[in-house]
Amino acid sequence: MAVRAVFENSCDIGVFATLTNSYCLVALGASENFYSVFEAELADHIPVVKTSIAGTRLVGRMCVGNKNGLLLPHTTTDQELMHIRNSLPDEVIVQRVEERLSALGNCIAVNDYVALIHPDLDSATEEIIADVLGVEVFRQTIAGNILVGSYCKFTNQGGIVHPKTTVEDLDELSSLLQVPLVAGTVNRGSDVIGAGLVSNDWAAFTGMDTTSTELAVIESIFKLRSAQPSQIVQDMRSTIIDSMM
Amino acid sequence: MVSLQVPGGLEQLTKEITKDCYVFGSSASTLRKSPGKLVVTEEDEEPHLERTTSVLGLGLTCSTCGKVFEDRDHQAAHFKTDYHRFNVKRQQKGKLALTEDVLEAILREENDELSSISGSGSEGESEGEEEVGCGGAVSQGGRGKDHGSMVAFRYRPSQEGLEDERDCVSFGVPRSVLFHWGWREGDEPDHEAREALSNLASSSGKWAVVMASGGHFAAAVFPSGKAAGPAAAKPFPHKTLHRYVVRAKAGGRQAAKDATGKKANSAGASLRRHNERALAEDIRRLLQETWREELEGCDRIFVSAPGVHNASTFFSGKDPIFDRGDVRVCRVPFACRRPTLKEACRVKRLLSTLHEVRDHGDGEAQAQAEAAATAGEGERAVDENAEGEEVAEDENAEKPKDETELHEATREGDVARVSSLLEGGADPCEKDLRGRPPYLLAKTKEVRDAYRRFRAKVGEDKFDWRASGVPQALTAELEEQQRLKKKEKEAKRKKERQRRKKEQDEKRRARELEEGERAKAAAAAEPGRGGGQGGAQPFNMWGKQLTQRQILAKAAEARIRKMVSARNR
Repeated sequence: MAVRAVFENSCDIGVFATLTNSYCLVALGASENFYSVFEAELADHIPVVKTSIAGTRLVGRMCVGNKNGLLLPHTTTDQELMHIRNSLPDEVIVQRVEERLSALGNCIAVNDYVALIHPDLDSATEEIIADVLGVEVFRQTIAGNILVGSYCKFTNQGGIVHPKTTVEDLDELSSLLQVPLVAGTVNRGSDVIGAGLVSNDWAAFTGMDTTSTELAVIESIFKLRSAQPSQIVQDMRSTIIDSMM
Repeated sequence: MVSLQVPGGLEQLTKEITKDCYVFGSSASTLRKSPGKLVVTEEDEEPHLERTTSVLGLGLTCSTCGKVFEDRDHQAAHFKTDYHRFNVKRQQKGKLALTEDVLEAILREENDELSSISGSGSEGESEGEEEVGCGGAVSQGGRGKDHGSMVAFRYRPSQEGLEDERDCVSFGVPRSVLFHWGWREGDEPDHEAREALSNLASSSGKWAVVMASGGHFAAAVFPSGKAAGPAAAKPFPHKTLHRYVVRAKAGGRQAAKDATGKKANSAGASLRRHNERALAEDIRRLLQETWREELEGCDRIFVSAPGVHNASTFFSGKDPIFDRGDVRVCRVPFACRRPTLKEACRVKRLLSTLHEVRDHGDGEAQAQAEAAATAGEGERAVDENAEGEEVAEDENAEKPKDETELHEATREGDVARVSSLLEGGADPCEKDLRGRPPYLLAKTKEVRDAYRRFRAKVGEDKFDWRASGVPQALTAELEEQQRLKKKEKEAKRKKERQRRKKEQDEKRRARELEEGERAKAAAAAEPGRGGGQGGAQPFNMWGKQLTQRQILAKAAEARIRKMVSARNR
């Protein structure tokens, strides 16, 4: 299910939270409401960690990660790094990246298998991304925007890209990422998809302004209708039973 | 049958074509203000890829690089190449993607370039990153860059009595290609320009480009442009030099700093001074010895040396490398970047091009050109005399467009004429073609004061003084004040001078005194060796203060004593 949420009257919740299949980072806010929304939905399955990054609350824009690892900008303090390391599962690798472009969330879009990155990122950073997150890395733009992390959001199930992406580019990207893509908006027409939406394979959170049409698109492309962690087990069971028969 | 391509190479000009060319807009002042500014739109010359759209569907494409792939592995591999990354960045700058072989050629060229730079560092990709002013003014209007003035010609095939305007081809040739460095305009500039054009057509086309600025030097001798094919592609002699002469952080050359009178004695300063000498010597040796024959074979040598110090490398000294009067030595009429081989090639390319003639902005030039064309229609074939009259007429008609009489008088520094013109009602706000009010052309204080006095006289409201650039009015009382101030300053300076002189006198006297005393001591010591006084210092009854006279007296006494003792012995 996709859930609407708001962070201190801002609908750009992607700025204040990061969600992957194995953990969720949420910004330290004045009120607990935002955190509670995430906790209610996720706490049974994955850790939800309250943290700041580099002293800011822009958790979602500063860091990027997937089920394998988490990359933090060089501005992250040692305390924050330690706190995050202690809170995340042991198999998740947490690493700081020495990269000039420190808003990693804006420059990198990633699922558990592939990543799109900003064309200007260091080749050293590219290697770290490939090693730590265990993904195939492509340098590409989304509808002429270099900030690939801001203008698209994709999971292992599917993804949404900038509304002005051409059909050819959409085909090309989905061939590259190996997931179905759709051009769309969040937050009542906002084209900054990455800022309006956080999602993993079974849950998604969008800004409070998101219309029900947008929500419907999101749920269908991320395959959230039937998606529950338990659903995956059920799918698997039926497959196993299929093959046994 | 007209086989001129504009813009195109200069080598298209042949004797036959130049015979039928005439200067565009037949007025005597054409050369002073030819109808076109040499505007060169710098376009990328590399072949571009069209943005291909997906052909096979399925998205196995790279729309940035315009490629289609067989399977996803190929596609993924492509997205990881430097070639793809380069094109993505290019696309970001709004440029079209390049093909793979073009990119390779560029990379190869860059490598070559780097190896020849010798410590100059990379030039940077951005255009116009560092421009060195020289010759013509640099103005940046739109995408095209002003590259100094050119002479516009029109080619009209004379065979078969063509009347059709469309068969005419207009083209511009940079003025400095036609005329050498020291050229002074004669009585018949049009005629001279035509002659220069036909000379150009009959010359061999072997050119040299020599550039120097800020401790960088680049020179190249380009083979004849007419030798097409393999000969043109052959490597040509070129050389770049670099020495550390520019003051770090402060900017400017050491020579310029020294010329201000403040001679720095730091290690860096002497290093730079030495390097300047060494660079000049290197350049001289290269051009006068190693390349002597090469340069003698050239029929144009383009020199880009902005500023006094750079120019002096080439044109002054006991045995100057080039002679300003030499008909082969021409100036590079536009601003250049840092001297490198690449830049020298660019200069050569720009100069050896027939440029399009475009009017600039107001359409005035266009009108002028049209008028000239219609006037030329009938009379061109008749004779030269008629043209002479035409010239006179045109000149009268065009006078006010260029610059006013006030501009002229101001530039010449004619104070009386400036004053009388101003009194006569000339407008000090009127601007010339380059948008400068006359005051801006004033070179001396007298002329500037004439303007300021005039301002005081007519008052603040008569003209828009702000637009005219004339500063605060110079009233009688202000002048009186200035005079007083000057006088005071003079008096102060005089006083200071006197004081210093006195001080020096005193110092000298003290020194002499000291010397005298020492002499006396020596004199006293000598007789003391034999006499009873021993080596002891003579008793000084006057304390420290001994006058000159006393010293002399004592010295005399000592001498006498010495003589006496000698006689006694």
